Amino acid sequence: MGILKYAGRSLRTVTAIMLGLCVISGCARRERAESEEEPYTIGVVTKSRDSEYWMSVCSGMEKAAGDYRVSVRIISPDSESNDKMQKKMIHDLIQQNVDALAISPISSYDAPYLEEAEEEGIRVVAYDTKIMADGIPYIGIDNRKAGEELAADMAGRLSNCGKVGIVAGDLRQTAHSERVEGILSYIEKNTDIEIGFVESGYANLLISDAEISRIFSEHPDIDGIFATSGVTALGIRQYLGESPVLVMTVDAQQDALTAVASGKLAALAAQSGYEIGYETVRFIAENRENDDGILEDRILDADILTKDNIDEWQ
Amino acid sequence: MFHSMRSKMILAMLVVTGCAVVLVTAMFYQKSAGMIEEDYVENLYGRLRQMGDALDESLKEIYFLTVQASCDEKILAGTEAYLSEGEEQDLTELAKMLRDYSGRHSEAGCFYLVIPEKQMIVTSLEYPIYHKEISEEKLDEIEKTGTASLTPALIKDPLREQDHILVFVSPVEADNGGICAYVMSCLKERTLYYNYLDNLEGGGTSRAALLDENGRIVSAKRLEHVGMYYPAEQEQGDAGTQKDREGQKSGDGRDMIFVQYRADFSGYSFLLEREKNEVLADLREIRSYLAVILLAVLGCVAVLMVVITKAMYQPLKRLTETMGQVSRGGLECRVELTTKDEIGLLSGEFNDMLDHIEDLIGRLLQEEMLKKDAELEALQYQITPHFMYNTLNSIKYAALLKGEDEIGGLLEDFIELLQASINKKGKFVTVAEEIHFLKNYMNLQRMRYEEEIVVDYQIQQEAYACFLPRLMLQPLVENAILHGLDLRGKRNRIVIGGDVEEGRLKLWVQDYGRGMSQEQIARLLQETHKKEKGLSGIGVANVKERLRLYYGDAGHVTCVSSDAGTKICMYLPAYREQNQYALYGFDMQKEKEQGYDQNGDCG
Repeated sequence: MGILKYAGRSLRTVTAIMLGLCVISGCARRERAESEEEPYTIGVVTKSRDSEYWMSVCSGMEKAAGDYRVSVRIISPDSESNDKMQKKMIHDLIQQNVDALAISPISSYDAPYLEEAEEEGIRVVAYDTKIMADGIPYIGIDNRKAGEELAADMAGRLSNCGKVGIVAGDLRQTAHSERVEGILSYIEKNTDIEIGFVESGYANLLISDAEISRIFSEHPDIDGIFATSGVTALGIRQYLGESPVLVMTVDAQQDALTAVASGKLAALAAQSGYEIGYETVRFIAENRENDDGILEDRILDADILTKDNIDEWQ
Repeated sequence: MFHSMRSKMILAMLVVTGCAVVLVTAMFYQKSAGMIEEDYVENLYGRLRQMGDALDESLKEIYFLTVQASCDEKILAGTEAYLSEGEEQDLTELAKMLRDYSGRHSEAGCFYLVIPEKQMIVTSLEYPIYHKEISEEKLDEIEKTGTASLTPALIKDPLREQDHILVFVSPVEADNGGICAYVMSCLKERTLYYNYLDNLEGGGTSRAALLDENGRIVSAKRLEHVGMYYPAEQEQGDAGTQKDREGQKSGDGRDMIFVQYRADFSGYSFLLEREKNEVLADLREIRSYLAVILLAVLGCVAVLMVVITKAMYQPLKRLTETMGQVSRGGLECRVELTTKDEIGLLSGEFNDMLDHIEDLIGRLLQEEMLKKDAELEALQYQITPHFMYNTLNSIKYAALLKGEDEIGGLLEDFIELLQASINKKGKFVTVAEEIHFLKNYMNLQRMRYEEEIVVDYQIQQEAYACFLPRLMLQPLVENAILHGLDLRGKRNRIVIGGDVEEGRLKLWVQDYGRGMSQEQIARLLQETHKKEKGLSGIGVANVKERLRLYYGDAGHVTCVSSDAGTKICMYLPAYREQNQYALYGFDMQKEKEQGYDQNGDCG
């Protein structure tokens, strides 16, 4: 009986230890916390879908969405000129009851969707290009300042004299119009440089050889050209070949950077699409609780890159 | 069954090992099951996410095409032309344009241009190119869908009622803002199922489904489930609670694993449920394998324990067996010593104890034998003592009457001596009594040898009162007379001495005779056989042995001899009471001595 009693006691002790260990091992199992947070969806409309710049914008947005635990629904019209399609897409996003809208408007001055968004209580934020309406915060570079800085660089290279021209995108978009304003303002105030021409309306950013040919036949003595978009600048540079005409633009896509490094583009106001995308989502996520407050613009730096400093920047 | 130490040890080890192995195995299994389940869910979630993202991309592209088509100026122009002129040619052109959009994406089944005003649908299909007389209900449904077209809607194909299709609808707006038509891209539910869900299910008990934002089944294996709320058995339910965007939810009453992934753009969720048992099937095999390993380990441990405990237990078994034999009387048994551990030590001590006991018993037996001998002798002498005393007394008184006082005195000495040697009463006498016997004896010896033997008594007064076994001095004096004195050479002096020093009584007999050789001394002290000559038949060796028996180490005899004579000394404790002695071997001796010293008494 003694041994049985002893065995019984031992068995209880062993069982208690086993149970204890099982509980510990059970507790040690990896538990995955499920997110109880209400999902916050940001509807994003870009201007276009195929250029490297817009792809980097989307990449930055998706990264920030992961970092700030929000979801983004990104849609893009087929080209920077298809204002109708962009508006339709914005309308669709508003109908989906997203929590916020980030728009890079094809038309900065015509934004009928703002009213609809306000009715639905959806916050609208402009990125890359301003929406010219009150209370719409903007996230992007200071385009006027970028234009001035490019003009200063050009003036330095041309010793404040000579003749330059401007090939701009759709001036309904503030991104382009402000760059042009910045360039013109600086040159007129600070230099003796003559403005040969201001061509605009290259909404899709591409410019045909015929157009370039026409421009240069009309202005054969041009010393420098400002293009408000990288794609346009690269097209012009390709047309010019080894010509000493200086070409400057605003962009940060890889082929433009390569062109700066090789000296084909004289200067570039570097606008990082990734940074703009990331900062836009971050801006919205950080202000998601601030429903009624008026938000300040978030201006990002745009460095002027030349052959001399591009290695450091990269 | 578990009475031996060995069986207890085996049982204990088996229990401990069994518990440890079971515990480790259980923990290992639990951990493995958890990890496998988690990895499986993780893996599945990865697949779902991949698939969800791919579907999302496709839907995004089809949405894009839909909006693009709705913004297409040519489509607008063609629609307006048909509305104003009603030419069939315009419809053919529109169908061609739709076919162009349809061809831009492989999963976009077809594009419809719905013209509500004419209740007709122009298609991108080869046949029918257009279909008229679309019902009002259908047109209403399409118009409603067009107001929220970013997420595809599940409807019945307006041209083929049996088909479920996912549609994006985007209005074609005229320049005046009015809607003149709707572009509708159609994605067949079956296309979705076979392109995505079929791969996920992969046979077995898995069930995959595509749910919309409200938890309604958009696509599933069984067509009748399409349009129902998940779970499929219910028409409506709280399917919304399953919106686990993180994609993992495991376990419920049915032991199912649920994995869900919701795509960002469309808001659609891929859901896969699979029975846990199926996931853990491989692990169950491992469980059986572990059980076999466990049994094998326990078997090995049992065998090892039998072998090890046998080796450990052998000395203990020998010890217990020997103890058993000893308890049954086999005092001669000894434990075989094979180890030096605690059991070996115990066995050695046990053997020593047995040796000791045996020695003590031997000594007790010897003493008993001596006593028996003495008693027998005494009995022999008792045959005629009264007769002898009476006769000798008669002779003594006859001699006295005849004036032979010397003979009478001698006879009295002899009678007293006889009484002293034969008397049973009192084994112990005082030194004074012993000296009295000696004097009687010497009177007789002088008469016998007709020679003058000078006896000098140098007894310390204190020694007279001490007790000693009777007739202890007489054999020594007799030895001196027989072997020491040279009566003819006039070396006839004997000194009998006694003193007490430090509680020890020393008695000695010294003759100034011829002396003894070492061999003689050795023989004298060792020969224990009974003497034929002499008064008592007791030799010096007998005296020595008696002293040892009575007093142990405290009683002994020394003999020193030279040409000038021989001195035999006898040492014993100075007791002042009878029987104040201990048998050799009992350690009470010292305690008793201490008792005397302290109390002057002995218990």
